[in-house]
Amino acid sequence: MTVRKRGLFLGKKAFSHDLFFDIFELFLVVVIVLALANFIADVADQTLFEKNYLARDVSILIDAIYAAPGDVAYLYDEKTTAYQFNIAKSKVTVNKDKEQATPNAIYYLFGEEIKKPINVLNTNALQENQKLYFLKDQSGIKVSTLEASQYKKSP
Amino acid sequence: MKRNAQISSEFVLFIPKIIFLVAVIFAFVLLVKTLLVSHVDVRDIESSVLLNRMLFSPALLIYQDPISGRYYPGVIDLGKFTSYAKTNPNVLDSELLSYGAENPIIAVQMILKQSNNPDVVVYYNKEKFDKWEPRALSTIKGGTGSVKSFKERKYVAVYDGASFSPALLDFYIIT
Repeated sequence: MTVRKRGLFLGKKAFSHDLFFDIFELFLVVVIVLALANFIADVADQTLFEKNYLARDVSILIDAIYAAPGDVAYLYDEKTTAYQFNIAKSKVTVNKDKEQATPNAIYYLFGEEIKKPINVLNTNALQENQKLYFLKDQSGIKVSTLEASQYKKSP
Repeated sequence: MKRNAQISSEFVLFIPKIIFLVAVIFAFVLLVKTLLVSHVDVRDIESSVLLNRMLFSPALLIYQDPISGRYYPGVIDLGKFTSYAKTNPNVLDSELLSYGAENPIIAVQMILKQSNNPDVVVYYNKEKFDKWEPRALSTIKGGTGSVKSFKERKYVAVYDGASFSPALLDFYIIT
């Protein structure tokens, strides 16, 4: 049996086989490098921890506000800029702005009163000068956003 | 060597490369994930908030004066408490307080102890409590780990419709 030399310019068949495997290998490397770069970018961004923290913190805050026997007005004075809060059906979901895909969203559950479900007015992606504002009265809890000019007036 | 045979032999040689690549990626991701803190354990504070919610929230166990409408935080309405114990054991979850359909978060057993009266037991999320309770016992092999339990005793006042009396309320919270 004769052993054929392998090389880029030696033989049409060997050339096509080697090229096929080389291209496949390169394709694999590119895909993996892109995936790892994306993963590292996400880690470097550190939004995972922040979203986890915010989802849990807001859930427990709602529990505590429900627990209060009287009326409550509470300004959530945390760094929430560019995060989007979706509060509904016993669940606080936190997204980064423009992050529409649900796999990246982090959620946590809170105990919602069935007879007085939470009423969320507007918590789109929060701007630099906006904060979450919780108001509890006889009718239940309302969640909205306040501008800096509004909340800085209060003592 | 025939063409097909050559392709398959080259492909077989390619398999160890792929296995090695997958192993390296796994090792890399695992290393990064071990250095990354993403989990926030809030079970202690969550239990504490729910316990206080039971004692202070107007919607749950406390007494409300029918004439003035005033709520008495920390005073247990015996009539309400007994009715929760005697009727549907899931009344708290299904009619008053919901952590979502499945409630994978928290379950509570509350035992009201009064002198000269039998103990009254009320559950929140009884289905999960029964399921998790054995796993909270440290004596059971493979028990503790995924669940955490808290026991707390509160000295409360109980209003039975005519007078106030002292009582103990034992909480057993599993989360």
